[in-house]
Amino acid sequence: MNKDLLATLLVLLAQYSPQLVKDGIDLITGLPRQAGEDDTSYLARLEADITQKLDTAQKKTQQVVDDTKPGS
Amino acid sequence: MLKKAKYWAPVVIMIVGAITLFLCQGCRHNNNPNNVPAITQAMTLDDAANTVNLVADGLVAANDIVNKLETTEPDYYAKAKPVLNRIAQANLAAINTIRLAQQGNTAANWRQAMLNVSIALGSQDPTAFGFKNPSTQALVKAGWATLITALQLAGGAR
Repeated sequence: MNKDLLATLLVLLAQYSPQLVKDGIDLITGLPRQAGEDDTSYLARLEADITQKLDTAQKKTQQVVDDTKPGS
Repeated sequence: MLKKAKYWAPVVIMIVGAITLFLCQGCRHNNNPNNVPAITQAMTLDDAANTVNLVADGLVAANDIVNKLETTEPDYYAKAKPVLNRIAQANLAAINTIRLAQQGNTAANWRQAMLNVSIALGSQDPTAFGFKNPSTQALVKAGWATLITALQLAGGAR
């Protein structure tokens, strides 16, 4: 399923049923919302998760860049 | 009397209109938390972060197998290293662009950056090669499997 389209639909749906949107987001994200967690806390946790994943990806990718440099 | 009604009619219409607008506003389910779009955006970027992370894992795995073949398959080693470098450079660029988007930079085209990762491999199969040892083919295929799958996922970010 196209996640961008789903995300757009969720934003539209948010005007009518925020709870349904929250449930939908929990289903499609790899980081489920914890019981009773409010939006602000959940957003902060998502942001931290993105940063952590990007840091890890950068470290591993940089290692390959260095190892595959011409002349290395 | 008629003159007075003419005078008050616009005022009455305005008051009724204002009350109607006020009531309609109250009927709308406006308890929508303001940051649901922000959550949706973060969720999408989280998905992109998963993909660049998977590409990074695939790069490490493919690079490991290519390194192991340096002495036994030097021609393949020489051919594969620049390909891995190209993909890794594109992945680094995508990581940086996702970071910018996360910081609120609306000009950061992370979707295009992901597409650039997916096309960095080019059209050729990186595992197709005239290996000296025929059993090397299966080893190489296994080594590249994660990276090839991850690149397909990156291409789906359109």
